[in-house]
Order: sequence, then structure tokens, then C-alpha cells
Amino acid sequence: MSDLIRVPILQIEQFLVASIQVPLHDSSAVQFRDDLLTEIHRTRARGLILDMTAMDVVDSFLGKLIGDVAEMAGLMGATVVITGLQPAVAITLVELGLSLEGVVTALNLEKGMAYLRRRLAQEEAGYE
Amino acid sequence: MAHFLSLTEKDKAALHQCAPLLRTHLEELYQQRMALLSQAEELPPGPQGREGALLASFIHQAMEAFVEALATDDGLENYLGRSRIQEEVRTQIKAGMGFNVLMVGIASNQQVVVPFIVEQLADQPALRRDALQALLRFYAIESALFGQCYIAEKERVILETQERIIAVQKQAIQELSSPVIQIWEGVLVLPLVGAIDSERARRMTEGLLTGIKDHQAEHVIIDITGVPVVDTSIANHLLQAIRAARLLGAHCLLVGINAEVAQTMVHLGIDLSGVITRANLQAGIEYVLARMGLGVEPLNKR
Repeated sequence: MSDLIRVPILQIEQFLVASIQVPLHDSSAVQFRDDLLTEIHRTRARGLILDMTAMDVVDSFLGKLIGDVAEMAGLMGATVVITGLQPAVAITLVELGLSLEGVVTALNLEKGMAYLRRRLAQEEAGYE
Repeated sequence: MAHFLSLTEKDKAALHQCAPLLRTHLEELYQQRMALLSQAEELPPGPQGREGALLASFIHQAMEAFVEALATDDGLENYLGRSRIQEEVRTQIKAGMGFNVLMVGIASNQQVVVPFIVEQLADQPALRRDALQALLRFYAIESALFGQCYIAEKERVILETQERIIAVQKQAIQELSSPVIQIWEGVLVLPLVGAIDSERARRMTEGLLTGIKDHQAEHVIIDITGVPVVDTSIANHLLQAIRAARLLGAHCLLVGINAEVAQTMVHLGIDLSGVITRANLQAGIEYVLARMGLGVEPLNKR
């Protein structure tokens, strides 16, 4: 399995950031999902940003997988934000019926980060 | 019933007999024809004229083809065939040959060949009569076909041009018809006017998404005041655009649904529950500004 592509997952404060740069084939995508969930569990991250700026094509498998990750991460207490989706990719996903209704989206990494910080601040304010 | 536009067997035989005679004098006849044309008042003066040059090359080819054609039945049939003439006319029109010049050019064949035959066959009156009769019919057929084909071809060209113009205009209208306007930092308005078909919906969605990306817009107000009828298909297109915009990270707001459209939508069972809607553009702008923590108030408030 040497052709497996591993996507680096970076930690910033209480959040994780992963930027997908190349098309992921099914096995790489599954590996990516497992890596993300393991990492969320290990770091106890409160948010996860998936940056798709570099992706020109997203297939239905990856589209569905992202929706799954969002749901699974939610169970582990992390909010998933997808950023930088390209117009053509958005149209394709909608046409495939993968509108990712449960996932938060943001225009770019910065806005995604701002959203997560705001949300965390709100949650923490709620506890007091 | 004999077809008016066809040669009889007798005609063909007479023409076959003329062919060798014409072939031996081909160059001479060509020169005569060109000399005749250089004096023709119908043509633009001077051999340097564009049409003059076209005509010279056309006639040179035509002359050889003509003599070749006379020799055999197949040759005649091909020479007077509609498809050959259509092809010839198409080439000439493309090269820019006018109708008058073409017809004069064709007529010039007759002008030199008929006197030539009359003179050459002076001592064979029977053949001369047959040949002249055959040639007259031949020329009648040729010019009739050229005329018909020219008109048909011109009509085709005009029709094609019109279709092209219509296509260009249609595209221009489509481009004009779904502008994406930034009304505030990060706020876009997409005013839709007129009927929306799949093609326009696709264009609209693309334009909207590109606009969102270019302006980094977080809010989009889609104004459908100008859409007279909203059916299931239009509603689906709108929903798709809204979903795709959300994937990019923009919030969409649908405004301008009038009473009639609202009724139709409910009757059709179109579900817009996931979409925020407001009565008109003003209400939409107010909503978006409020979400951004902004508002509009009088300047001189005391």
C-alpha cells in the first residue's frame, strides 16, 4: 500500500486543520478519515477545518466521506468547517445530491477559523 | 413528358461531335472570351479588379471542364448536375463573386462558342443545325441552374448569418440577464428577471458562485421579483444554486416572492423551509445588515 496518500493534519490552538491538495482515491480517503478521527480523539480538538481550496474535482465517495466525518467528529465534540470549496466542485456536489446539509462552510481558512473561535467563545460563555 | 431542363440523345451526340473541334481551339477560345469580358460594361473595369481576377481563374477552369464535359454522356450529366453547380456557386460566393459578374461570365461562353461553331461547321449544315440546337439547350440549362443555385445559396448564407446573429444576441441577453452586484462589503444581490430555463439557471449558478468567490461574499440576496412564474423546475434550480452557494460558505436569502408566486409554490408543494425568505429587497438588505451587526439610521439624529 505504498501509493496511499497521507494528508497532513495540523493543530492550531484547540483546532485541527487539514488541507487536501491532491485528489484522494477511495483507500486514501478512508485512511484520511481514520487519521482525522484518531487525531481528534488524541488532541481532544474542538473544531476541524477541512480546506478544499486546491481541489478542482471531488468525487461522490469523498463527498459522502466528508459528510460522514462531520457527523462522526460531531459525536466527539468537534465542529467541522469546510473552507475554500471551488464553484465547480460545489455545483458537482449539489448535482450529486451531496449538499452536506449538516456541515458548516466558510469562504476561506481565515473565516473558518474565526467561526470556530466565535463558536467556542459562545459555548464557554454558556457554561458560566 | 420530357423534362424541360434536360438534353435529348440527339443533343448529346451533336455535342460529342463538337468536342474535338473545341478542344483543338481551346486556348484561342479562352483568349476570345477574356477579350470579350474585358470590354463588357457589366463588369468592373480593369483586370486588377478583385472580381476580374476571380472571373479569369473561374473561366480558365470552366473552359477546360466545359470541353471535357462535351465529350461524353457522363461528362455532360456531371457538368449540368445540380450538385456540381451548387458546389461551384458556393465556392464563388465564398470568394466574393457577385451575381451579375458570375452570370456575365457564364454567358460569355455562349458568346464565343456559338459563332465559332457556326463558322467551323459551315460546310456541314445538318450537324451545324443539331449542334446549335443542342448548344442552345445546353446554355439554357446551365444558366437556369446557376441562377437557381445562386439564389438558393444566397438564401442559405443569409439564413445562416441570421441564425448566428440570433445566437450571439441570445448569449448577450443571457449574460446581461443575471448580473451579480455587490451592494456592500461581502453582500451580493442577484436580481433575476424573466423566465429561467435550465441553460440560464446553470449560467446563473456559475455566475453567482464565481461572484461569491471573487468578492468573498458571505451573504447573497436572490431577488426573484422579476420572475413571473415559478414552477417546480425553476424552484429546483434556485434551491441548487442556494445549496451550492452555501457549500462555498455564503448564506443565501430569497426575496421578492409575490402573492401569486407564494400561492403557486405552496400548491406545487415546493419546500423552501431550509431557505430564509423576505418579502422584498429592502427587507432582505435590512436582515443581512442586522446579521452583520449593521443598520441604517438618519444622519442628523439628535
